[in-house]
Parts: sequence; structure tokens; C-alpha cells
Amino acid sequence: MSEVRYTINRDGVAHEVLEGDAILINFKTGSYYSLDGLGGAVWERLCAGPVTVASLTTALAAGLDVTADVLATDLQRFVDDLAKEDLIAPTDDALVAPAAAVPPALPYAAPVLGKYTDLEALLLLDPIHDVVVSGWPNARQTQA
Amino acid sequence: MPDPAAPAVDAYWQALHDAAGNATASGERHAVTIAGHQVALHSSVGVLAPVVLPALAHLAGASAAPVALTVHLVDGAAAQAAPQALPWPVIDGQAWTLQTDRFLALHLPVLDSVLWYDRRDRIGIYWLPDARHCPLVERGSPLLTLWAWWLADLGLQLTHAAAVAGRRGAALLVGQGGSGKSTTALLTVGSSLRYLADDYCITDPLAPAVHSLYCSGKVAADEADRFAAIARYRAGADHEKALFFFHPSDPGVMSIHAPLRAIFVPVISGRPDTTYAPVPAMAALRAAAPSTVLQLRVGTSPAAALTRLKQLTTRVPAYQVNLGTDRQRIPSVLAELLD
Repeated sequence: MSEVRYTINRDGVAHEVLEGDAILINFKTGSYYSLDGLGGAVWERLCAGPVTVASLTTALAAGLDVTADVLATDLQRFVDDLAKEDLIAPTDDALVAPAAAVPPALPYAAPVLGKYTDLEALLLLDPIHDVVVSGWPNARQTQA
Repeated sequence: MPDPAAPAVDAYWQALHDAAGNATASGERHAVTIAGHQVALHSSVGVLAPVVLPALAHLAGASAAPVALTVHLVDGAAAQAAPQALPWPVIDGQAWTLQTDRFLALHLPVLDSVLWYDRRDRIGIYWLPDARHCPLVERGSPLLTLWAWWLADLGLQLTHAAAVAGRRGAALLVGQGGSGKSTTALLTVGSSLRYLADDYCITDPLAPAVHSLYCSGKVAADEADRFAAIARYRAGADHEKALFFFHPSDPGVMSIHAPLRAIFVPVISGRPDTTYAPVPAMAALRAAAPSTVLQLRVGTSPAAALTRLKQLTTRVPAYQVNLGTDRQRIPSVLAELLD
């Protein structure tokens, strides 16, 4: 299990948590994301300060109907997905002990990163350099 | 490209402001009241009437409040004036933006337009080389970027959403393109509901409330004939869109502002009847936020915009609206939640 400390990417990601679920918008790429249930709980703990997969596992395992090994494996995959999307990044900052889990209302489900790319065209085409005659923020519909 | 040093920007702005003032000195003066804030429009001859005023006609008139923003609108061809060359390097033929603590600026090479906003003194300058070449879409939603910058400074959110109003208040219609929000808003014309916006509106997250920005509406050009109730408001069309201008002087057509009572997340159901069901606030936030934050991010804070939208969505109930194929029934179903 990785002992890398991770923190959220504050320069490129807007994010909010609402009723335990999270929405993340990567305004460098145009992708946006949904994190529900355990995924939202992990994101809340990332917002509180740097964590490792081990510290998350310790904090969350007691409140979930799952073995520590399975949870650690699921969390590692989830953290890797977050890092791959540049939503979090390694840090040398001091670890912050994550808050313990609250009792789950539903059976255990592994955290999942829901990714949406339907608005990427607004950014990937570079809206400043790729505007139609109607002007920004209307991205080109087709490219030559 | 690195931003130029602050003294160079200050000097350029002063010269640009002087030139815009000269160009508009003998032009027209108008006032509009946007979200309760008075905006003074100083225009050179030429640009104002055909480009900017029609979409803001429903907001015309001064309010008792002091002027909150002054905008100089310069039609370069009519005024026989051009903005002075930038003293810092830009790439010919490419757009540029500039962001400092005081100034926001955007240049669009396709229109060769420049837009500046002085956040400290609340002054905007929009300089078009020739307003006669301004495309239809710009006439339907003029100065969109300037409003986004200015409204953010006021704690208000220019929101990518349609909006409709009933007797109890308004609802936002949020979602990606093709979800039916514009169609639903335009169907309210001639119904018991009133039209507020089809694409962009202003939301006050703390009130919460919705304010109209434009009295325009757009539909796909090949769909326009399906909207018989709004045919008499048609103002033009290009190969993509037909443009309509509504006006509150027609009783019962438009609302200028209303308290926010609900957020609708429309979904095209394919079934005849329109139905609705409550959904969590996060469903509304996820439908409203990405396109608003991503489209309007230049010069604004995406994080602040997302926070304002979260505040908004937690203050009113949200509903998924399953839009039926019997389109004429849609407004009366929505009215159940707004009247």
C-alpha cells in the first residue's frame, strides 16, 4: 500500500461537497466529476489536509462493513484514479489524521470516480484561440 | 504570455478610456437597471441600437440607485476611431486575455473586438471595429463577458440556465445543451407562466432570486416554426438560430426578477405526459454548475462560482422534470409548482 501523501489540486479544480457527495470541476481540462457515498467521504478528508491510503483506511474501516484489506485495495485504486485526473497530487506537507467514518446507511460500495467529458470541447479547443464569429464562450462546432 | 507590468496597463487603460470617452462624447446616453443596479451606457453613434439595446430593452430606465457601472460602447467605423496599439506584445491574429487585480480584458480576433473592465472604478469599454458586422448571436446576448465579470464583483452569479416564473416565484431550468431547458422556457410565452431567460440569467444565491438579463430567446432555425406563439417576436435568423426579442410591455409575457422557488432539471422523457419528482440538491448542482463554471471561467473564479451555485441549490427544492411530447401541456404542469 502506497504511503504517498496526497492533497487536492487547488490550482485547477473547483469542488464542493453537498450532503456527503462531491462535485469536482477541472477547469484546466473541462472534465467534471461526481463522487458519491464513500468517494465523497474520501474527498471531504482530502479537503481537510494531506492523507495517505493507509490513514484513510484506518479512519474509515471501523465504520464500514468491509475488511481493511479490501478497503485499502479499493481506496488505493480510487486515489490512483483521482491522481491520474490531476484532481489530487503528492505533497510533502504533514499528514492530517482523517476523521473517522460515520456509520454507513447502505451496504459497502467501493468508491467510484464518475467522470464526464461532454464539456471538454469548451476548453480543449482553447476558447481564447478557438472562437467562432459569435464570440467567446461559444466554441467552434467543427474544426478545419 | 506573461501579463504586462501594472504601470504599462494603467497607462494604456487611461489612454483607452480617454479615447472611448471622446468617441462617445457626442453619442447616445442610455440607462439600464440590471439586477437592481443602474448601468450607464455611453455609446458612439452606430453600435448601440442594433447590437446592444434590443436585448436589454426590457431593463431600460434609470433606477434610484447610483450608477454602479459605466460602459463605453464604441463603434469604430461610425466613430472613425480605433483603440491605440497595445504597448506590450501579442500574437497577431490570436485572442488574448489580461487579468490584473484591477483590470480584466479580452480581445477576440474574429470580431477584432476589445473588452475591458476596470474593477476598481467599475468602468467597461467595448470597442467593435464595425458594428454592422456583428453576428446575430452577439445581438441576442451582448456584453456577456462583461456582465459575468461585473456581477461576480457584486456577489451575483451569471448563470447558464433558463428561467420561468409563476405567481409564487421563479424556477431555474438547468442542464446541458439539448436537455430541453430553452424549449421549455420559450413554451411559457402565451401560457400562465412568464418567461425570464432561455440561456443566461442572473442569480442571487443568498436571497435567493433570479433576475433577467436578456429579453432575447433563440431556437434552432429549422425548429422556429414549431413555436407559433412567439412568431411575432422574431427579430432575425442566421443559418443556425432564429432570434426573438420579448418585452414586458406585452402583459404576462416576461418577468424581470422573481424570488427563486425551485430548480428544475429537465429530461426529455419521450412519453406524452410531463411529470416531475423531487431530486437531491446535488442533482441540481451537477446540472447547473459545470457549464456555468466552464463557460464563464475566464476572468472569474471557478471556485467562487461553484460556491455561489451550491448556496443557491441548497436554498430551494429541486425537481427532475420529465418533459413530455405533448409540449403545450408542459407549462401548466410546471405551474403546479410555481403558482
